[in-house]
Amino acid sequence: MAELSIEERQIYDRQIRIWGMEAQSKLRSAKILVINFNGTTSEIAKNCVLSGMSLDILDDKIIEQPDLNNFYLRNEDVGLSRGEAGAKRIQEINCLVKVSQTKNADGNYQVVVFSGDTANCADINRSCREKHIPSYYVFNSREAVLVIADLIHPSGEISYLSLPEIIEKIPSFLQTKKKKPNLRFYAFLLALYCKFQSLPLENAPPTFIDDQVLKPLSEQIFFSFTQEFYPSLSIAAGMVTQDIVKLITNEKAAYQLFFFDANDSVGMIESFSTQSKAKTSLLADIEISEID
Amino acid sequence: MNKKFVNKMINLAYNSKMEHAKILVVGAGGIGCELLKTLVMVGIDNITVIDIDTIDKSNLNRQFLFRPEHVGRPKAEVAVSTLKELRPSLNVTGIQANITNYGNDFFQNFAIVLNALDNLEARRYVNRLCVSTKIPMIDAGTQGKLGQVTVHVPHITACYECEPKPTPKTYPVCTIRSTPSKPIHCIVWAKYLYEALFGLRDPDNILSDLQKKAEGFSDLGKELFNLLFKEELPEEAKKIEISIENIVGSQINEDKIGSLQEYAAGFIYAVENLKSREPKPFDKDDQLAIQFVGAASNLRAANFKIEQLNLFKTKEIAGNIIPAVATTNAMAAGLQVIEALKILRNKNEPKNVWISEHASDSKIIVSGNMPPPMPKCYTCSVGSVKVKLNFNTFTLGDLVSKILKNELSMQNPTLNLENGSILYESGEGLDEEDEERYAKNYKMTLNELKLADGVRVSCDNFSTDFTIKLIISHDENQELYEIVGEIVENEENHKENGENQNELKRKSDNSDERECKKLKIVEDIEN
Ligand SMILES: [Zn+2]
Repeated sequence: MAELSIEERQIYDRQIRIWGMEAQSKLRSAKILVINFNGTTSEIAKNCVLSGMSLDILDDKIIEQPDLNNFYLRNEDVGLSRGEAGAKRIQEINCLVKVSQTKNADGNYQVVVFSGDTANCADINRSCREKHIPSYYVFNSREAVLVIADLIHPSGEISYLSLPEIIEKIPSFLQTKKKKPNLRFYAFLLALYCKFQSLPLENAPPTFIDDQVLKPLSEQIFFSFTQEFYPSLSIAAGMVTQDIVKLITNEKAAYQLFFFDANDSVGMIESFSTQSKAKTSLLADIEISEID
Repeated sequence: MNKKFVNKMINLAYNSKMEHAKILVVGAGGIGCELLKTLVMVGIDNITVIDIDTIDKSNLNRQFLFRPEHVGRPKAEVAVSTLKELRPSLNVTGIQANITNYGNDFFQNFAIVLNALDNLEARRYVNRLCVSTKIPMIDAGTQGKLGQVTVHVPHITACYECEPKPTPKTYPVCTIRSTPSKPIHCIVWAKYLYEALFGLRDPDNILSDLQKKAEGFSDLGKELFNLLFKEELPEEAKKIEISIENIVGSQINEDKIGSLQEYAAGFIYAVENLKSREPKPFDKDDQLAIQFVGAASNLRAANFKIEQLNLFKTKEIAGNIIPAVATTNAMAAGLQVIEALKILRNKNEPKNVWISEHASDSKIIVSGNMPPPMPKCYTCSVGSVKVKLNFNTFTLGDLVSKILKNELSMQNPTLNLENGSILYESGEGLDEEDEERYAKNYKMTLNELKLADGVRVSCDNFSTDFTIKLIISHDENQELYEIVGEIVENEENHKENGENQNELKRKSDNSDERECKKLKIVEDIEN
């Protein structure tokens, strides 16, 4: 691995003090794929580029007024594609890395990041899995944000749950009694599960929490799905980028699920078992992460 | 299940349109840039940002409103122009100045003050002005992957100074001068040496005797080398056994631990270049100063058989660098904006929030209730302090410098007696006669000033609108002074706050907060 230039050392000085020189070189040769350039992924892109990673943006949606709820898109960009305008702005942040728009996502990516609706998630996850690329999915609603990480190992040696497998575990997770459950987290998971399974909320699976308490919260989440709140998405973007740095520098990722809600300013992480098969009881699979 | 809790669910994002609240952002560094972005994106468009600094290359990994071509330019100005490029309609003002030049008149304009500062002194100053103008302040700090955001609503919750901040670590003079045992002792010694020879040349510098000795040297580098690392050493230290005569100056490597020859060469290189330069105080971004400290501290470490450090690490310790990273800054700023919105909308209770690196009980971002004000806080409780000291030896100057300036952090106090006469005043605009009188008073003991035991002195700090009453009693056996007990609260003040305090005390009985204590960041923080 080529040594860092003097320029790189000066610009990255502070973070080299956190993760070291070798990690910084690894970040330099890393490339991330960003799918759907919304507020959340624009923040993740910004953080990745500041850390020293290069990235491709896949998004050919033509910019309209509502897309301007994104710090990196401006009035004058209306009519361009989000991928084109986004790549240009994100590139301006750091000239030591390469930011491009991609039309067919044919690069050699270390991590894939997506944010938006649930509709295409399963397809994206399937293609990432085929290439053994870890992928992150960020879902927003009102003041809350939820991140799901498919941490598939590039070597395939360690098996992690895929996105659909994580979704499948939600009902049993919601039935596992906990002393002080974070209601907003549970409400979000319930709404997300229904979105993924195309279920109306009335047909949501049962939980151990009183319906009268959980359902109104879930409804709010369900009907505001994909609405972004900048302070919360900034927090999720920070968490996602931190873990991407860990994956690229061969450290253990911190979580499979991250949830934050601005109303109580609490951020939760959860990790399900790494084993995706050969378990008899679903309940036994669910572990509360004790990362150390 | 608590129904009330559910009803409290508010809608921060889609509530009535944000009123045009005026926000002050103090600092346009790592957290400052993130704050400006997030504020703009939640619809707050009336922002003033103030920062005294200019942009350094090492800022660019996180202060994303700046580009390489901006290096050397004022942060506040560039931040505002980048924001306006993105959102031309914004009403954002950038001021390049020290916040301590601004008083009540300035602070009064704002609905909330958001701190994105890197030092304790400025935080204290802002805190005092927020207390005196009764404006809520939200502070944030990060250190690597840790962060904290605290909310301070004057007289309702604890102010920034209610909980004492640990004073910076100090070392005994003899450890630095003759018995170092850790790399840091050698680095502190090298910094003092730098200041004595090429820096401030303060006569109180603990190594100023070495500077005097060096005055007559004709070949400063070589003679200084022999003096410091061969001659002027305690017996148990090991002299450096190399001859300096044939060493040619050259820079030391940033990453590798060098040989003694390399450090000697680095020492010669730094001294040769520094001796012809204008004296300049130590600065971590000054390459020559860092070369000098790196070479001198490692040679001294060899003298005392202490572990050596590369220049990269030496710089971190010498410059007190607490590394900052964009992700944590973004998270801290996001939390600051969330808590600010809660205050502005007056809908649900703001929280103090901590970002940790490892989860505890699945929580990686933890929040707790804001503690109530401390009745004995010098800053936010209107009250008096009892002091015991010896009237025969303690001078008015001691009172001003040791108690008012050091203990109570007043910058330019005015001291009034209860009969209205002024004992002491400082600052500009005094007439000559007064100035003379105050200078005379300054040197007199309290006894000479004919102050009675139990005297009450009212001390005002004009710039921060901060007043405190000292009740001074005489104690023959007191060598220095003793601050006795707590601040005695004013009756009225007590009544006014009593209710709030009780309410908050109840609320703060929360286990989250105890866990958070561990994560608290106390040092000055670069962000
Ligand atoms: Zn206080």
